[in-house]
Amino acid sequence: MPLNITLINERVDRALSDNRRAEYIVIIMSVCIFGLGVFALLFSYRLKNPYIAGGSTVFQGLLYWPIREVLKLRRDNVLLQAFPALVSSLPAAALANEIRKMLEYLRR
Amino acid sequence: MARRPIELVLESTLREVDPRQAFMTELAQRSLQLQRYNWRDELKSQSLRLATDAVTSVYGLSPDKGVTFFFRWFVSLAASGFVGVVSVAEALLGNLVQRVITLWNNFLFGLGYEWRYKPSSDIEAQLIRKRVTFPSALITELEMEERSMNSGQGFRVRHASALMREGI
Repeated sequence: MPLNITLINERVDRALSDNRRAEYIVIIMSVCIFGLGVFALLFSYRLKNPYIAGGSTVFQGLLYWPIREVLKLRRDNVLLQAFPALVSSLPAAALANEIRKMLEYLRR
Repeated sequence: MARRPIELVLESTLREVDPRQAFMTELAQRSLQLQRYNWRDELKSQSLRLATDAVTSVYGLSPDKGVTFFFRWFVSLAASGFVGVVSVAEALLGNLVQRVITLWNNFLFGLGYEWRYKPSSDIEAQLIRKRVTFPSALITELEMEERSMNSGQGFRVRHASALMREGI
């Protein structure tokens, strides 16, 4: 059965827009974490309280997860953008192999 | 487990290109998930069984009561253990933690203080640099002067003169 390239392109576009939405949400979340952390640090500076300063430093450590998620989403986007070219240039058997490898790589 | 959008795209394309491989990939994914869940469940059930056996053999309780007893015992042990660990850590590391906090405090607020506060005279600048501790009697005297004058500049002048008088 020949592949419907238009349908694949539509799916890729939908996935890219979903990723963009997720990226916005994650970035807003991380900006909030950063803002709250900076606010807590300034507040602790004003109160001269090292405990609040230490707490805010730990709080800033939570940025690890949003940053990791953004990196993952960007990696996904690169793969998605290259995917239509892959579909149109490879024969069916090689394409199936390539997709299987990509899925394994993503789920590792 | 929720799939990412890219996984959905790849899976649906793979189903169209090679349904057999798509099925095998799906199977591998499910099996991996099952293995993960089984490993956790196995660990939980084994540890629970061992603990129940231990409690029933020691206290001669029935398995049902044993489990309840075990959980009560475990929770109280965990709570007291936590308190014990915190107390020991506090005793061993309290001084160290206090030192670290003091260092952090000096670094953050000491630096900021010098940067923020502009000394009005050379004597004041020297005092800040040397971190002189003021005698309490002098502080009381300065406070009284400040209250009576109610002026920042006057306070600074008198502050410096009082310090000189005290021979600091």
